Amino acid sequence: MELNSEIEEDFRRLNDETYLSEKNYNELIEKIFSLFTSANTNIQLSSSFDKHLLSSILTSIFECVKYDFDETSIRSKLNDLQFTNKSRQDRFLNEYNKYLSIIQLYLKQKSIEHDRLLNINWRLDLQLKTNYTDKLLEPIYTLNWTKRDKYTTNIDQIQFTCSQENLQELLEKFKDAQSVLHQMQYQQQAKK
Amino acid sequence: MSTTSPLLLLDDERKAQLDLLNKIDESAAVEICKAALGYLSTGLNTKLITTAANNLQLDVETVRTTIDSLLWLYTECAKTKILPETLDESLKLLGYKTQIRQAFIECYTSQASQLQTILATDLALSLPHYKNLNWRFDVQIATRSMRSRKQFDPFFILKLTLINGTNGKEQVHLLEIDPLTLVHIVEQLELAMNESRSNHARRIMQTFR
Repeated sequence: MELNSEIEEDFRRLNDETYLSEKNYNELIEKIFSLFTSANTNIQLSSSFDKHLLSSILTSIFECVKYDFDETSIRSKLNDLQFTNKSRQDRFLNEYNKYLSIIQLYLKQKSIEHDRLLNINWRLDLQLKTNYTDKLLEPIYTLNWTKRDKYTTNIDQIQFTCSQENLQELLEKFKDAQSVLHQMQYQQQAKK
Repeated sequence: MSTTSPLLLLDDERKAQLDLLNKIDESAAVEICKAALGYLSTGLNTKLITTAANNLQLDVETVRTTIDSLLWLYTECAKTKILPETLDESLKLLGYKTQIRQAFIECYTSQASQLQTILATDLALSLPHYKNLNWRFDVQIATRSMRSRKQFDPFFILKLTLINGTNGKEQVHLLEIDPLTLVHIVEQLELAMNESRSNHARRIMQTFR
């Protein structure tokens, strides 16, 4: 993991109690990590100096998660950056560990995406008559697939109809897919 | 809807248009019935109609109107899913002789199911409908943003192909789905499938049959 000189400089500042009081440091760290909770995506910063620090700390957090650093590696990296203040390191690591799983999830999602299928809704109609035909008596399914568009939070719908035979085919295909999961579970258990 | 199909009752104008078959030679009438059936799939052929009209020494327009009405009659039969016996009775009302009736019924029954399919699917109001689904099972093991972390995230890619109701064009949707959602979807589709076999659905089917 390599950080640029500006970030290294910021960490030296973070270490300096005359530059940043204990209270301000704690507040800053708390604000930064609170970004990973969905409730808070917009934080108020008092100065452009804070913004710069925030960007540096975030970059280093992401790098640590990206390379899956453990606590010892992080401490050693912080020491290398001359961020040696033990209580500040503890504070940082405490928050880091608390939010690690969320940050991992966040980074995993920053990958290549497809539209994501979220749910299926269905309706069963009995088609009786059209202007071209009498006595149809055909069961028709209307399916509504809810999906999230890739790289966005937009929710979209795919609506289509299918016959009873089509639905049976669709169900069989999904069941085939599901059986792969069972096979995989079985294989993993067998290996254990 | 009753279990016996009602007779096809034609208005006077139609009857008059179809009356030509009573006025010409029976074998010629049979030929016209057969030719009309052919036109159902190919559309009217003016040149052939003119030749036929000349051979029968009839007015081209009269032959054309008769064929038009025969096409209407074939379609109407398919629309109401008429039974051969009922059709025979209906044709008697037009005054057609046995040979013509038999020829018409034969022609109709040979194409009935195809005609009904066209009426029910190709012409009917149709929403996008299902054509195919392909799936693929993958495991995500590494990404640029998480390099050292040992990843193991199983997921499915689905390719859903639909056909547009109006222009018959295919639409393809590529979707990713996680295993848990897949299990939930299988449950939902099973519920949907079972619903069409439920007592409630059967009772309603019986009511309209």
